[in-house]
Amino acid sequence: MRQPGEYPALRVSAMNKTFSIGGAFAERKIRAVNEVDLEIYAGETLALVGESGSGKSTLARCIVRLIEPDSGEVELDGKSIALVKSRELPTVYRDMQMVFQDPNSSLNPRMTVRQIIEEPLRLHLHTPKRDRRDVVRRLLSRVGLQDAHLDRLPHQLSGGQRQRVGIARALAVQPKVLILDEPTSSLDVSVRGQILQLLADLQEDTGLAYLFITHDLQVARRLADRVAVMYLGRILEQGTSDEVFGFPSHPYTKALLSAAPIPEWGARKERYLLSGEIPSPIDVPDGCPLSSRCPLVIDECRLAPPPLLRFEGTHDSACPITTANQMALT
Amino acid sequence: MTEAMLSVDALSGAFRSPNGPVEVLHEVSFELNRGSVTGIVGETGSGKSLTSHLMLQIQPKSFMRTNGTICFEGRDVFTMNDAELRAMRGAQIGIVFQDARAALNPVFSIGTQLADVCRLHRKVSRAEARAIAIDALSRVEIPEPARRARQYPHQFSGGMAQRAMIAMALICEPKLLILDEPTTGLDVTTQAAILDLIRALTKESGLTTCLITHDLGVVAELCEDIVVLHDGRVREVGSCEQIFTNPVDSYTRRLLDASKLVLRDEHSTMAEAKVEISV
Amino acid sequence: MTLEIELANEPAPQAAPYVELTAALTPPHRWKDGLHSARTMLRQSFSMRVGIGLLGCYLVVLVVSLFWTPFDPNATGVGIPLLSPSGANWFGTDRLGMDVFSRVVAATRVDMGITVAAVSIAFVLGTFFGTVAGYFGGAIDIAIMRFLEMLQSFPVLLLAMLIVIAIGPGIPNVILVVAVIGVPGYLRLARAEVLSKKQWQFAEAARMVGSGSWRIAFRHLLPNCTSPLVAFASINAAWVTVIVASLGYIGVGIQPGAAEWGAMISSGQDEVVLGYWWISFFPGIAILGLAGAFYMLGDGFSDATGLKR
Repeated sequence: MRQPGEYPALRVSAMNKTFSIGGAFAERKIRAVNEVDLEIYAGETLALVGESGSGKSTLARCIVRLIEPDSGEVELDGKSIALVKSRELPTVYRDMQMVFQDPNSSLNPRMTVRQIIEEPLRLHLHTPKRDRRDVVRRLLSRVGLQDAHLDRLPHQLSGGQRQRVGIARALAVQPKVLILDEPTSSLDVSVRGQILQLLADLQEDTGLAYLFITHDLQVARRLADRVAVMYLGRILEQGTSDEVFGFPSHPYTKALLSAAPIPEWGARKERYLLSGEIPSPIDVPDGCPLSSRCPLVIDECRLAPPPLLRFEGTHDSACPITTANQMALT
Repeated sequence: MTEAMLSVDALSGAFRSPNGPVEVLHEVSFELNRGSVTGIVGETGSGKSLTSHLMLQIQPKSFMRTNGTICFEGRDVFTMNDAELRAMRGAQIGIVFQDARAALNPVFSIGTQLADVCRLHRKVSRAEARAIAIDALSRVEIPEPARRARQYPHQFSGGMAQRAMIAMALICEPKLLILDEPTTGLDVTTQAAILDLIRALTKESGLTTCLITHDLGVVAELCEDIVVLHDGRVREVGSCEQIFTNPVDSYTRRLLDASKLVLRDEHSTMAEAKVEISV
Repeated sequence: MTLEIELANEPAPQAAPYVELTAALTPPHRWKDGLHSARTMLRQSFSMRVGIGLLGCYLVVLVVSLFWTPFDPNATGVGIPLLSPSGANWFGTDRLGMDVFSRVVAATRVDMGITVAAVSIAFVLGTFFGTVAGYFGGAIDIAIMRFLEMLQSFPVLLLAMLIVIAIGPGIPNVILVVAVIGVPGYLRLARAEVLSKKQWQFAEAARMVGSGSWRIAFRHLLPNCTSPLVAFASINAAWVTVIVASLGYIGVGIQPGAAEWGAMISSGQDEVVLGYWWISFFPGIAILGLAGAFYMLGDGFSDATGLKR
């Protein structure tokens, strides 16, 4: 629950990142992240939803400075970290950690589970050797693994178990913010629910703030308090889970929700269609990123990207057309 | 009562490995009914992909059949010789694999590959094959098919490459279409478009379709009949409505719960299900 | 510093069946620690068995030769020259009456010693600089690669000859020269491996965990690249054996008259025409055997670790 006057656990302001590809003659730009603002409070989960090319993974890496953003501010608990030099970044990583997508490549194949979880204790917290053992075992049981797993190598564990190790590793330093980049996408369906349950329990016990990146709307619906929808580097819609899933405003959100297959009999619904496919993120034209596919596009849409504006409650949308319609109806 | 186009009967088999044979299929039996879309659902390791490969006899060499048959239009595919199999693949049964861009040859244009497949099974001239190829691309709703036919696989996006693969599978107008995880790895909106396409194509031509996937949402959208596989065994067979509204088998129930991401309160039933399966 | 974390009462998940399935189906594809994996590899690969067996024989010969040879390999003017192989002189005698067998055996120290030393040095230097170039990239990478290209633009043997002539003869110099020539191969391989593994998420995770760049490069990435490097080293050793013998054949770097396979081939080649084949033949077989042993070991290792696709 938010307290008045409380700082958000993580606040991102005006984040930008553009990649240049091609040589001197054929230089082209990819605007991976375009003026993104986010905030997450302690104990909350913000789901960042988007398809390929949306820039969500790049945004995550810019927040933790694995990639250096072009501009933008990141504040942890009110403290700005944008000016922290790369040598001093490890102090930031004590408060903010990341859980990666691919359980196969996010663990060093040659390190045992024990070594993997001990490393942050050694390097960040400088935990003395005699305490390390206990701490590692407690972390393991916290994520649902057993002592027997301690001396196993990653390839001797299942995908779900490997992901649990990744979570334990991230928790070792007792961070305040956890950034999860598609943590369940590479897992089997039956394991997905277990991991989500684990994450939900952990959040309840420790008050962690989650930035949960996913393309799976069902997963977002299950875990998120707030949702942000991202497309070609921009946030197009944002609000609480109920607001966005219950009353989607932006045409892209509507298309996304109508496209997601639901594992229920007779749930087939009308598709909200966008023409064409997701364009290449290279040299995106000016204007709203959806303008090449949107059924409601007008000339103004192509001139400048519409800003993300609040139109009701805590619900923001970057489409002036649909918000005007919705407001006209109320 | 529709006659089965393909029936798998008590199929059992194992892989040869340095540690002895590893059983992967146990008495698998189900039927693909003429004109309907059947979904084979299972997680990794359930044997669903292997079964589809066996239908076309393209399984790995280390696989040994220990029992059972696969009968396509009355004939057991295991007894067919090379010539008969080659005639069957492509012309009678078409298959679409998961990663389209990896399955397409990168050094030939899409049009060339489509035309080649066409000429393999039908006696047509090169020009005719070309025309048929372009027509096939337009049937899968690829815009500007003539221009696209000259392009190479790497110039196609994921969704478009998948459409091209579907075109290639359908170009010789087979009786049965097998789709092995056709939308896994595609974006949500692209996936929806491909599913709509598959639905339209199968309705308009009365094609018998076999859809292999782990995604129950896809199955709910597209399939009329469902076969649930787990660990090489058939756990349940039934109509789509029946499986989703009234599943009988414990594994099926667990899979449905998991796909809906049911959380804590259903935990006890999941634990029960686990115990049942390990017995 | 204690952590107050509650215990979760969640049951431990079982390993998914596919893990066992894939483990049963695929051969070991990584260099795992422990005797068990080495034994498995030997069991599976005929090449490796042959390679290790032969190398073992050479090693035994080398060790024994340090203490004893049938005849003194450097005693000139003692024996009867040009005797064909017999019970007394297993490989016959050469023009100066020295026992060919003893000389071949003694030369093992020189040839095999230089080869192993040169390969080891090249391995260490090449891997180190390759890792640095691959991980840190940028100006360092460009500088290292340019230097490499310079080095590789000369024909190998010519370069070796020139350097040895420049810095003088002697076994340490030969080792150095051959090592330097061998560095580029290891460097390129290590660099390529590190470049490809740099993208893996565990390298990113290592950074989040507090590792600095050097630590990530050497403690995390490099150990995952050892398989191809070891395979390369073994096959490279085969090539180096031939290079060393070639240098000896030309007469570069080794004391004239010293027992060395290449030099022995060279000194015996005039006699071959006259029918005294054994003087050049047996050193030649020795070279072939050692090179072949290294090669088969490397080849078998590649097979066993699934590096050859």
